[in-house]
Amino acid sequence: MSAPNLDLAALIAALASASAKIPDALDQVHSWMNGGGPKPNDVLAELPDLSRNDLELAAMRKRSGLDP
Amino acid sequence: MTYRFILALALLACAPATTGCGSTTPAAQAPDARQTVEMAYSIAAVALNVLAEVHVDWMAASVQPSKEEAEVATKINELLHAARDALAEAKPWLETGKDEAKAKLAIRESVDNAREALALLKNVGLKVTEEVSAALDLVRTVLGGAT
Repeated sequence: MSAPNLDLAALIAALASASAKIPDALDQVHSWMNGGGPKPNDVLAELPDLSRNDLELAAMRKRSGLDP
Repeated sequence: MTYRFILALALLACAPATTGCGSTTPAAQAPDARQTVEMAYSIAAVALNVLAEVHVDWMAASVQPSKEEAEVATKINELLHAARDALAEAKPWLETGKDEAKAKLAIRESVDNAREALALLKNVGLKVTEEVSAALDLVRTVLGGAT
C-alpha cells in the first residue's frame, strides 16, 4: 500500500488535540470514583457524529477515481 | 500519559473493595456493577471519537489518494459506524438498567469494531496514539470485571 498524502503538521496537531481527550476522560473517572465529580457517563457519553467522515469519504473516493 | 491508564486500571481493580485499596473513599462511593458498565461505555465513546477524528483528518489530508486507500477509508468508515451503532444500542439498556448483559455485549462488539478500525488506521501509516489502544483495553478490562 502506498503512503497516504498527508499534511503532517495539520495531522500531528489534530492527533494531539484528539488524544488529549483520553486523559481528560480518565481524570473524570478518577474524580467520580473518589466522590468528587459526576459520573463519567453524564459528561462523556457523546457518540461521534460521523457525518463529516461520510462527506470526506465521498470526496476521497472521487479524488481517487473510485467514484465518478 | 500511560500512567493514567495504569492508575485507572488499579482504581478499577480496587473498586469492589471495602476501602478501595488504601484509599479513604468510602465503599458506598465506589461504582457498582452497573456504573462500571456505564464507565466502560463512556471510555469506549471517547476512544471512538478520537478514532473518528483521526480518520476524518487523514481523509481530508489525502490530496491524491489511491483507489486502494479510498477502499481502506471506506472500510474504516463502515467499522466506525458499526462501533457507534453498537454503543448507541447499549445506551438505552444502560439508562433503564434492565438489560445490563445486552449492554455489555453491545459495548464489546463496539470495541471489536473500533479495534479493527484502529488496526487499519495504523496500516495506512497513521500513528494512532497508544492512549486509544489503552482505552480500548481498559474497556475490555472493565467489562471483564463487571457482573
